[in-house]
Amino acid sequence: MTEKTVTSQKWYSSPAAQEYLVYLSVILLSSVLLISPVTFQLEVTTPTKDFVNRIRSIPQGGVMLWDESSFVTGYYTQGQISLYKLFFDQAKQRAVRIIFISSCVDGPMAGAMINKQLEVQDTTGLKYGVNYVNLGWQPGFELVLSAIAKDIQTVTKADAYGTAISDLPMMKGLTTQNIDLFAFNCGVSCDPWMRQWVPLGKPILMQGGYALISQASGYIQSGSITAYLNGERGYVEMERMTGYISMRTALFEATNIMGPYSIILVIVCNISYMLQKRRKQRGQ
Amino acid sequence: MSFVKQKELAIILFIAPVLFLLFNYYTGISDPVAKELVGWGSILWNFSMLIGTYTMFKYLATNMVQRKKDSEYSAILFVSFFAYIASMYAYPAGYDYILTNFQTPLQMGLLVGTFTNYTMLYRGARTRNWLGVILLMSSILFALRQIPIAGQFWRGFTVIGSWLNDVPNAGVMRAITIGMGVGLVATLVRELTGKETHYLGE
Amino acid sequence: MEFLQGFFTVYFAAIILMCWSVLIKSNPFSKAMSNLSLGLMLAWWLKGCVDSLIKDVFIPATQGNLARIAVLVLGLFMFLRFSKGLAFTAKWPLAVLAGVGTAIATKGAIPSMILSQIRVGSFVSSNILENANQIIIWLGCFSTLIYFIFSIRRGRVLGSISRVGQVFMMLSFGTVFGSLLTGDNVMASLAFMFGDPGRYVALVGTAIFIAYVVYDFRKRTVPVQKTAA
Repeated sequence: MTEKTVTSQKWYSSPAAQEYLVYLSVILLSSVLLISPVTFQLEVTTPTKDFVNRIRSIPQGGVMLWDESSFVTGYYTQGQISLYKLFFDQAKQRAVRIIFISSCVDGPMAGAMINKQLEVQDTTGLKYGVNYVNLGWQPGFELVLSAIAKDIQTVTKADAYGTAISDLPMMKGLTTQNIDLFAFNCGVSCDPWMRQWVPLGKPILMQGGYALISQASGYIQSGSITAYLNGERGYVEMERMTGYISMRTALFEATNIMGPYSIILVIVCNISYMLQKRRKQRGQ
Repeated sequence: MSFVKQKELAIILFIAPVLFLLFNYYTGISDPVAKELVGWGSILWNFSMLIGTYTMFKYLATNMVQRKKDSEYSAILFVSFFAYIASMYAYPAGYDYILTNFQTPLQMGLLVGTFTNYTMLYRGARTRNWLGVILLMSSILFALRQIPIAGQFWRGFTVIGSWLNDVPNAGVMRAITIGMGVGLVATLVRELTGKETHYLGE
Repeated sequence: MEFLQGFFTVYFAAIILMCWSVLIKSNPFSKAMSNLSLGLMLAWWLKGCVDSLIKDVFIPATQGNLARIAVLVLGLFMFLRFSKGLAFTAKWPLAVLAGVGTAIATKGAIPSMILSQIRVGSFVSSNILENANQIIIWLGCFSTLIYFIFSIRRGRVLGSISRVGQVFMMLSFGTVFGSLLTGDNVMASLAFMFGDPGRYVALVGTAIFIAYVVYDFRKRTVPVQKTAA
């Protein structure tokens, strides 16, 4: 007669339990930060200063183009309000004209983002079609970027609201060579923008996540990208610099807790792996 | 077989725009035709989206008819699709309602990558050799550069993180970008010689 | 914040919780949400494409623009893929599209991806740190390129340079990986779930989650058993 013994499994040793604990801790930490935000002084770094100063140094009456091409989770988190405010300040103070467009590979939501952001901007003293235009989302991604580089007039026949391009005073006679600054944000690698816009020889500004900025280092180093906003921190630094604070600053404060938390997770993972290895070796 | 039906005609239709656009780019001759051709690209892209949507709907509808597993959820897809598209054209208030109350939270909620990132870090960020240690150390130092609280403890974190991004990382990314550029040109040569016909679905 | 109050927070809380439920286990709610999301996004895409086709193709074509009539005909050929006898014509517009895309990608590749990347800064400027950094950048670039050459057998010299390239790549990929370590958070989603009256939905969802987790743990905890064979 043989006996078979089954030992009970401790509740915390199962992978599912560990995952639940991780999810719970993420939610708890984020909730704590919502109730009691942790604020630290933020030093504005040089790349952000360069970015803001570049926008502020567009020539009087010049033209800038902004390509809104990142996959946005919602204008409810006031995604780009401060940046658009910075653009419109240039329009009010120095008659800079702005072209908004989206070549987003993720779809037309970015076009909706532009529409919503424009709705909440203070455009007192500015007139649509004269000081700024919204060309909306255009399908084709790199084809759109190429069309912009070739001739801005051929990108589309009508703007985001259905008005013919030929009826917009700002677009009359405007060529790509007249555009003084190109700026974009992106949710994918910046190579398409670089391929199409670098040969124009104009300043190019980039806004993107940390990983994308890291990937773009080659272009930044070689001067193809004139200035950039480095991820969430760069955007928040821009808000501090300009004084246009939005919900993104509040959300960024969470990095002070979640960042060290993720580093601790990595360290714990490696320590437990090392201990497991040693236990196995001793067992052998 | 008639020449019209052979794949060589499609290859010619591929090569002709390539050569023409490259010719225009380097010489500036025939600019209006080149601009129109680039516009054609966007337009044909739209048509391919229509084909893709139709093919997907046909597949889902076939699954529903054959009562395959989880195919009943496709009904939600069809209803939401037609309701949204109808409201976009015929009922702007309804479109705004769906965008605000459904699409926005869906896009926020479906990004569960936040949670899976942490479980990935807990389970998968383990090093087996000294190269992995270098990678993790570099990632930790770079992360500390972005976190404001780290800069308050020691300013060196910002300096080291910036250096890592601007120097070794820039060197490697230059190499990778050069490799990608050379690869693009090499692929172009293969396509022009007809050795590469992936664009025909072969 | 005012926009966090209102009935729409109920939708937000319910939808976000249903999406997050996939983290526990795939269930009817998460499947419904993913299909709903797909339907809405497809509608968005299709509207964007149709609007673009109307304003850039159909209207100019009806006004007699020959080029746009030609591209309309070419685009309609794509639909002939469903016809047995004329399916070969569907390759023509795809070939043109691929040709235009290839030309656009390649023409910009040489100046931006190759020529501008091999632009060298000064190694002998007055700033010693800058000189050292330039040397390190080019060492990293050169050794990484050597690492990716697989058509030459690696001897001692090439092998050592490749090893240096590997170290540089680990430093570089560490900066990309470091973006994960900066700490994503779900504060934005939680903000709507704390809103009024969304918080009641969030409470119900939390209660269901806790009940499921407790049930799951009890199922996994197996008592000691003795069986006789």
